[in-house]
Amino acid sequence: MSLEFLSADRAQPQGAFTPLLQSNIEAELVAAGAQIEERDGWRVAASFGDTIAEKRACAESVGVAELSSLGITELLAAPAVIEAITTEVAGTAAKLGIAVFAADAWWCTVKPDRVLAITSPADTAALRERLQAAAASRSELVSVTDLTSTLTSFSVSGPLARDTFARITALDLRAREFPLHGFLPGSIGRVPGLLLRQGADSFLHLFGAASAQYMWESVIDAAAELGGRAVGIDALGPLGGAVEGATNA
Amino acid sequence: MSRLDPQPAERIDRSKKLKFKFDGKTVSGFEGDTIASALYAQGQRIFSRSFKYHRPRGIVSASGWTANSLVQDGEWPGIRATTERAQEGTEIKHMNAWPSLNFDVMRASDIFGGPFMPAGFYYKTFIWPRSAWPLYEKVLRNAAGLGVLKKSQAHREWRTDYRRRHCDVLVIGGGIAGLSAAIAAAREGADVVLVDEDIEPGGQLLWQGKHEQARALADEAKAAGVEIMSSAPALGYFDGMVPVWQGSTLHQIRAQRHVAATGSIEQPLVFPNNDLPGVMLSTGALKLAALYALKPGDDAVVATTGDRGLEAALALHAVGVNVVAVADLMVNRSNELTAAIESAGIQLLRGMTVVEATGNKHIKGCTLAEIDAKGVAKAGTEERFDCDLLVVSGGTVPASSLMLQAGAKAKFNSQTNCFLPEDPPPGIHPAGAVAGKEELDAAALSGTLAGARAAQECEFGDGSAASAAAAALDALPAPSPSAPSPAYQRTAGSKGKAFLDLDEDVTTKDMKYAIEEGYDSIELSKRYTTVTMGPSQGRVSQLPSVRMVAEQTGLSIDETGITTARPPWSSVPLGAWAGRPFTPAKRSAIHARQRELNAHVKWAGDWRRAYDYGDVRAEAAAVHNAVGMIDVSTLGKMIVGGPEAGQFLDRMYTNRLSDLKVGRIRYGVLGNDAGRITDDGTVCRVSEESFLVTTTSSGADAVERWFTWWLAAWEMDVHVTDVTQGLCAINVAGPKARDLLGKLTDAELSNEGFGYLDGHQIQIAGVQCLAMRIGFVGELGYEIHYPAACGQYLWDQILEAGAEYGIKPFGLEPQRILRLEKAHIIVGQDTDSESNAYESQMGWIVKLDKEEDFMGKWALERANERGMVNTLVGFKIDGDDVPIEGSAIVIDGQPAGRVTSARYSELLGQSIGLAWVPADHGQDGGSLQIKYGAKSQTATIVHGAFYDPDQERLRS
Amino acid sequence: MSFLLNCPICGTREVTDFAFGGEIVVRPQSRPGERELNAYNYFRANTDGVQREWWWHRAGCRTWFQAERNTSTNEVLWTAVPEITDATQAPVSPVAEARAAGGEELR
Repeated sequence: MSLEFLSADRAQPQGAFTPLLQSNIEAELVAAGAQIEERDGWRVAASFGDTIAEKRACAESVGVAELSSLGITELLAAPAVIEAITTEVAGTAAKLGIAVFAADAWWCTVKPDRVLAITSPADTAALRERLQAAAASRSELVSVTDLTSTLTSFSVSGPLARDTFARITALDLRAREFPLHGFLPGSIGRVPGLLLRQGADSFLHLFGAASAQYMWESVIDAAAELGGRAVGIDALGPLGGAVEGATNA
Repeated sequence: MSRLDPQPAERIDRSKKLKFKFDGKTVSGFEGDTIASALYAQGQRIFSRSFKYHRPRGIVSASGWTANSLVQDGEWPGIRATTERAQEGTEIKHMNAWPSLNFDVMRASDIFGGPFMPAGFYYKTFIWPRSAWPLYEKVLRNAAGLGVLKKSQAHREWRTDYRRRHCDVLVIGGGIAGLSAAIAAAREGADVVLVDEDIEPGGQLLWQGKHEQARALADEAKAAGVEIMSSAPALGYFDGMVPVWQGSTLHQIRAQRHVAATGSIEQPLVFPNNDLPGVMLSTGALKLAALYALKPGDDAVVATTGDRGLEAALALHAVGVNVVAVADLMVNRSNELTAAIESAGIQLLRGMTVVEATGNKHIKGCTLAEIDAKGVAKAGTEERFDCDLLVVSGGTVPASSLMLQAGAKAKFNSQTNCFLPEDPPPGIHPAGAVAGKEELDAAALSGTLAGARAAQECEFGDGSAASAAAAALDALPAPSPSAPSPAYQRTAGSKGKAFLDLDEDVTTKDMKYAIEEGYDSIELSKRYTTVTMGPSQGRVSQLPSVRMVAEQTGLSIDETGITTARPPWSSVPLGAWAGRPFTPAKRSAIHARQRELNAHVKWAGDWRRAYDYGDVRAEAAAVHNAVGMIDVSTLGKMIVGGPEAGQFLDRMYTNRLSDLKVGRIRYGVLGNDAGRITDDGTVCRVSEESFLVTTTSSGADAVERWFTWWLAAWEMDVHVTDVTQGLCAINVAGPKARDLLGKLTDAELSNEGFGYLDGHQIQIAGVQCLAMRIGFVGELGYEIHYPAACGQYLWDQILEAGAEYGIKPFGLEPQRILRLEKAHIIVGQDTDSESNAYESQMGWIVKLDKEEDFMGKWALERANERGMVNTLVGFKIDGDDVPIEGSAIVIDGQPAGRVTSARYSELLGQSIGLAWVPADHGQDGGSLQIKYGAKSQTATIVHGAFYDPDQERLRS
Repeated sequence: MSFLLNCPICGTREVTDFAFGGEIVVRPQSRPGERELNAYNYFRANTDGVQREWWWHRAGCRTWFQAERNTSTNEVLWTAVPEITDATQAPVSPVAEARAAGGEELR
């Protein structure tokens, strides 16, 4: 395809070269105590040295994890075309305001003609190819763009996750206004952000990758004030969601 | 000194003692004490010296309504001792007195300076000579003694925070009206927040013997789901946003509806020596007794205009204060309260009031008398009383500032003798005393009404609760009247100072002078005398000053009007407004590596970038002689795709892009319809239907906005995706660039197979990249775009592979030299909002013959016909004396242009730069006069690039 | 200034979420005369009262939409994604049309 230079997962060993896929802020994560391990081809912060304490933070206060490895695929097309393609690929139509989980991906509608599919790193390339194939079969204009490196994801999970966000955003995250699986674009930490409520107390925060260090410092600072901490992906469920049963639904 | 027997409503926990220091001496108190109550218990009566005259000042309201109680707590000046809880181990100091509170040498300004320091004294006296003002300022600032602030503080050493709260109904004020409103709204199902400035909700109930009712209401509110925030003053009203300060957190509360239950503020009386310690509002005396079990005095006189003072007299009598006399300005009041006073054996003097207080550092006695319409004591009616406590109550004013900030109008109400806020904007419901409902029953019902209505407007409830409350409110009897007090009451021929404003030391005489000098409206006299402009925002000085202006001008109080206190309504540290620091910085994915390489990092727009790695000249030389690499990930990058993408770009850029072949690159200039250059960059056709467009580093957001704006208007079949932050970009440039890349890729790199302005997708060290041959820095170069997740990896590979060629990473500063050698412009540095492509010497990029209309075409056609007025030219100066950017170009002694960029080029051995000059002075080889201050330089104009003008190196 | 604006896509947000696009101006459809070009480029009504204007949800969905707002009170009357007109001109401003027709009711 024409835009392969956007896709980190296209990097492959070549002769003496073995490309690494890593977070923009690996150095900061390591400085904060992260244990870096390779998972699905990515170097990720698996833990910060104490997975039990990290899980406890996610259950009792708030845990913040860096998940830049999550795949993000953008689908641009007229609303009816988007509906047709997501139905074909995921068996469901995406809706404005509420994300749906299907075909191992979160389908998040930013606006009627723009949908983001969030996947675990192992599934990203396959989903992109399915979307590209579906797009190719359409006569209308459809763009499928890999934004995995463009957007960084943080998982913010725990009973104090909402309070953590209240320190850095004006968005109204009350359960009444932001229901389960809600998807909300808006300013977070003065940076354009996208927020997905994956679980009762579990949020996925997406934002421009260049702000990752600033956002890490901001969110960790806010979380730490409330007794929260940085956590590795081993403290979390799939796609950075809370581990089932760990929080009150 | 000792405490009263345990009081039913007391806040202190007698089982928990605490100690702190005041001016070095140990003070002991109980948990729950304020700084002031603990000090008062030990006999402290003077808490500060006044702002201007350094007169001794004591507790007035015990509520922070005057600046009298301001102290320094450790590093924190301006702490209200009467509302700040005492903390174990703190070091409290007095402010504004030297050497001590008890003996202050500046008191001389009171005793001797009186007649010589009228209002406007500082304005008039210290203005000449102007040059001496810094000296005056230093002395005056010390004399004013506003506390001592630490000169510097480590980042986040004092942590202020921000918290956002959304709710349906925000109730401001936790008195009976506010609590009733909150309960009513929450019961209807609304999400309710109640904020209150006191330590606990309840308002006046707490010290008026009804604390149990207060606590029951608070429990009821909590049970109904209300979030109650205490010690949390609301600071202002900003388009429905109410900032609330609590602890070290600024809560920004956004509610759909507001209940203003901000209560009322008791007013003092104005008479000679009304500022003596021991002269207290009834609120102050009652709070000391009820909440902190303190006997406010042994022998008390009470002077009142309404019921409030009578209630206070009875309450003080009940705790063992000897109430010597009660003066009620109302001549014919006879109700349950007067009967109770008389049956308690207290002397009740109807129709009398206080006309003078005496004492030096504390009140020793006062004179009561009947007064005439002007407030002067009638001869023969004066009676003198010895006392150590004078309780005054001059009625109340509604605490209406927040409502006035929201747009309500203040109207004088002759029944209540105060200004009531009227016509609040929709969505704001006043309740309780601020709405003139001072009596408890009325306050509670008006609260219920306001809360129920607010909830109903948020679509909760059926309105029946509001209707019931409204009916009950209408059925209540009229409240007890209060006597209007004169502006200024005194004995005939009295000389003592009578204060309108304790914070700012404004006396009746100051106001009289101000009006005589022509500052005869409340707005002018306020600014001239600074009345109401002190830390307490006129809480107890506004009505007295309005009365004084009215009396002096002969206008009615209504005609005189009032001023609106601006935010913050409660004083807070400046840091409070900052909340949490937010400085969103962008960094490339390779940033950490560059720091390890000792990069000097500076701001470039909203990015943190490597300016250099310590040796600018060596970095530039490496690019010319071997190979260098620079992180240009900050460039804006957009995918523009779709069947009409080329046509769209033709409309946006001045040149033609639709005919660009796949794998080719063209430079482009973006303009607006005025023909001005707004941004520039390269466009690479990646495939038949997709282009990678780059913009300047600071222009990414604006270009996306610009493109999508026109797409919203034109409905073209085009998609735009910003991938700025997803792609790293490294420019590998220098004669050895090709050799270096050859070690990392199998792809064709020869000049024939991969020529200048080609853009190829190739694998480099295993990473899929878009490599583009672009020459911003003037040598053979490849701008490599690739996924940010591989950012650091590929940087490392290039650096390692380049070692044998002497590769150097270079920063922004050497890049600026290199591009200047090529006379490449930087949009925004060398151009401004007036620059068009012709005058910027880029007429070649304007294709007026394009079939389709494009941005700026019409203006550029005219510019082309009209010819240039000014032009951007290069210049050179022998040697390394570089002109300062911004220097003037001088022609015939007049400034006629300016230098936009200038650097020393080691390669050329010359200083080179770009400058705007009048078009008829821009000929190649001409000379320029450059002037900056006294410095003058002569430069030679150069057209075209200074280096490699024929692009041989670039295309090699 | 801290009023709320309703993004037609995302819902109500603080105004700081948005970028202001200015009052709606119609781009000439064909090569304008000098006067018309200058009026289009440089002249704005700067209305004290209700005007129709462009906003961009910068921090959210990044959609351009139009709003009618009272410039004195910041009361926002409505917001909507513009009706797309033909391919050669910017969205038409009803305010400008009303003004051209001599209508003053929008003030």
